[in-house]
This record gives sequence, structure tokens and C-alpha cells, in this order.
Amino acid sequence: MLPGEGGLEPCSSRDVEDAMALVRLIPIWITSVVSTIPYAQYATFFTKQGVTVDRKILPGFEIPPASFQALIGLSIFISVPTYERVFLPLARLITKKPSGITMLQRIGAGMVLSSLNMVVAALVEMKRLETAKEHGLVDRPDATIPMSIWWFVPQYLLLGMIDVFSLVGTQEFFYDQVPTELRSIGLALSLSAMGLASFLSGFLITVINWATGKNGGDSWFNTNLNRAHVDYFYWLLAAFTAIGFLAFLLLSRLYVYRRVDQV
Amino acid sequence: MGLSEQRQHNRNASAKPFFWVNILFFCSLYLVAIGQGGHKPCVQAFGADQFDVGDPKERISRGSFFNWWFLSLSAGITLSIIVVVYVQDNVNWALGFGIPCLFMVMALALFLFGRKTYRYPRGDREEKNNAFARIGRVFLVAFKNRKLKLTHSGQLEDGSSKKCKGQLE
Repeated sequence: MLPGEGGLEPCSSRDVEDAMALVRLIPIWITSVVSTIPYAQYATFFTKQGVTVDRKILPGFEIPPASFQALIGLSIFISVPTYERVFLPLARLITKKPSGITMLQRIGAGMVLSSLNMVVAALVEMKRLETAKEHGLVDRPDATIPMSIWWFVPQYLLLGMIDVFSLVGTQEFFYDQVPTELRSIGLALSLSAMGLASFLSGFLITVINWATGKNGGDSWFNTNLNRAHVDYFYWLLAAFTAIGFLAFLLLSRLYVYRRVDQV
Repeated sequence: MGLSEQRQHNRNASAKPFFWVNILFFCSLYLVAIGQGGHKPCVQAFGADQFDVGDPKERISRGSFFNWWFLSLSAGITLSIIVVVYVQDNVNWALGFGIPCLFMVMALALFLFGRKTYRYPRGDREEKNNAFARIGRVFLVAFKNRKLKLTHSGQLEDGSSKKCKGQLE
């Protein structure tokens, strides 16, 4: 119990415990914000890259670059049942725990995938820049680079898997770990991490754009994507997410689950 | 969607709609945002509240609930991206917005239909204070006591944190 002073009544142990539970969530929340920054890229840069490549997926049919986002939905359709019916039973067999893996392990796996996704995206962008250079298209941003849009499939499919691990994992974690009356606030907290990550991504892009383009150099985010270096940005995000994951690993070791086996 | 939206916007701009139409339009946009912000976290929390954490089986089912919930949400979004956007682009906007509106009303009706069968958890115990006041007060008292330590001795603070630890772990 915290001792009260003067007119203040002492707080009940229950109240203190609830307050502590909230405080313990803050560092986890921060790391989850950092590792969600890559998630802000698919609607912007992924699409911009898609515009420049060969988008014929069937003879005579060009897919609109933004429609590739439907692949995320497809990936979720595959990932959720696979997670539920294959991955979890296997995990239960191995860990001998009814929950298979803990909520924090699940979020951590999502963070690793998120970092991996940025590595894949960076490699694909490097390949795209290379192809543009080979065909002398660097200064012709409107020309179609002879590289198939199928190259972009893995990074979209990975996004769906990250959703299943990280996003759903965070939702469950925050729902479960906040004090009972604050559960919808807990879910709002997990959703707001995504919102904040988008803001941070915008902030990062502004700063990098200013820093790399100020002395007449080519900014990483040059309007001509063939002169830009979005791949550097992806590598940077991969590093951020990896650092976020390491911090998360440390924090989750110190984390004490609240009411975990209350039966 | 973004492109067609913009196209629509330009068309509107050239037609110079009435001032009040604009007000109405933005009010409806903000209402959507408020509705989403309130609806999205709460309905999911309410759904998860239907499971009894005390029961080990239901606890696992609750984990599955989050997964399948997310799958249905994505299915709905993907379907509406394909169908509704097509209607908005090729039929008209009134029907394009009418379809989601109709579905929301249907969803609400379905939800209310089951209201006698839901579980309504009240938290772990009867509480007079609301959670914000209750937990906010802990931080307030802790902060006040911190000041107290600075002016007096460290005894009070030490004593309290030791006790605290025992209760938490």
C-alpha cells in the first residue's frame, strides 16, 4: 500500500497493482510502435514502386498497382487458418502449454518477420534499380522497367503473416493485460500504436528527405523513383525493427504477466 | 478508390456546391471517424468478454476468437474493396455509400437481437469509483509522496516500495 499523506487516503493494493500493470505496458507499447513503422510503407512506397514495373499478369491485362494490396487479404486468408490449425497444435506439442506460445513470443515472432519483410523489400528494390540502370531507364521515370510485378508478391504476403503474429498478438496482449475495466482502452492502445507508427514514418521520411536532398544531391525519396534510394530507407527500417526487437526481447524477459493462470 | 474519390472531388469543386452541403459532408466524415473509434475497440472487447477466462478451455477459445475475428474483418474489407468500390465507380455514389450503411444497420439489428444471451462482465468486483479515477489516484499519491521524500527522510518511500513489491510478486 502506498501511504497517504495528509488528506489523502491510502490506495488499495488492488489499485496499486492495476497502476503498475499499466506502467509495465508502456515499454512494450513503445517497442511495438517502432516495429510497426514498416507497416506504414505498403500503401505508399510499395505502390509507387509497383507503378514503374511491368504489371501484365495476364495477356492483355495490367493490374492496377494499388490492387496488389488485395494480396495482403489473401495472405491473411491463408495465414489465420494455418496459424490456428497447423502452427498452434504443433507449438502445443512442443511447448506442452495449452496456449502453444505466449502472447509475447507471438508478438516477438511478428517483429522478426517485420524486420525480414523490410530486408526482402530492400533486396527487391535493389534489383529494380539495377534493372533500370541496365536498360538505361534511370532518367526516364515514366518508362516501364522490364521486371515483373510478381517480384513484389513476397513482401505483400509477408505483411499478412505479420498481421497474424504481431497485430492480432498485440490486440490480445493489450486486451488481456490491462485492468479489467479498461479492456476496450487496451484494444484502443494497440490500435493507436499503428496510428503513431504512421506518424513516425511520415516524420522519418521528412527528416531523411531534407537531410539527403539539401546539397543538391539526390534525395532518398526523389520524385524520380529510379534516382531515389527507397532501398536505403528499407534497410534503415529493417535495422530499426531489429533494434526494437532486441529491446523487446529484453523487456519481455522482465515482464510479469498479469493474472495469467487465474483459475 | 483514392483516384476516383479525387475525380469526384474535382467535379464537385467545379460545380460549386452549397456551403451547407460541404458542412454536411464533413460532419458525416467526422461522424464516421467517431463511430469507428468507438465501435472498433469496444465491439472486439465485448466479443472477447463473452469468454470465461476462469475456464481453461474458454481461455484458449478466446485466443482463437481474436484470430477469426481478424480473418472476418479482413474478409469484409477485401470484399467491400472489390464490390463496393466497383459500385461507387460504375453505378453511383449514393448506392456505393448506401450498401455499407444498410449493412451497418443489419449488423446492429443482429447484434441487438442477441442481447439477452450475452454475458455482461462487471469486472472483478463491485467498484464505486471508475477505473480512471481509481488508477489515476495511485499516480497522484505516488507523486505526492515523492515530494515528501525529498523534504523529509527516505524512510517512508523505502517502506512503501518494499511492501509494494511483496504484493506484486
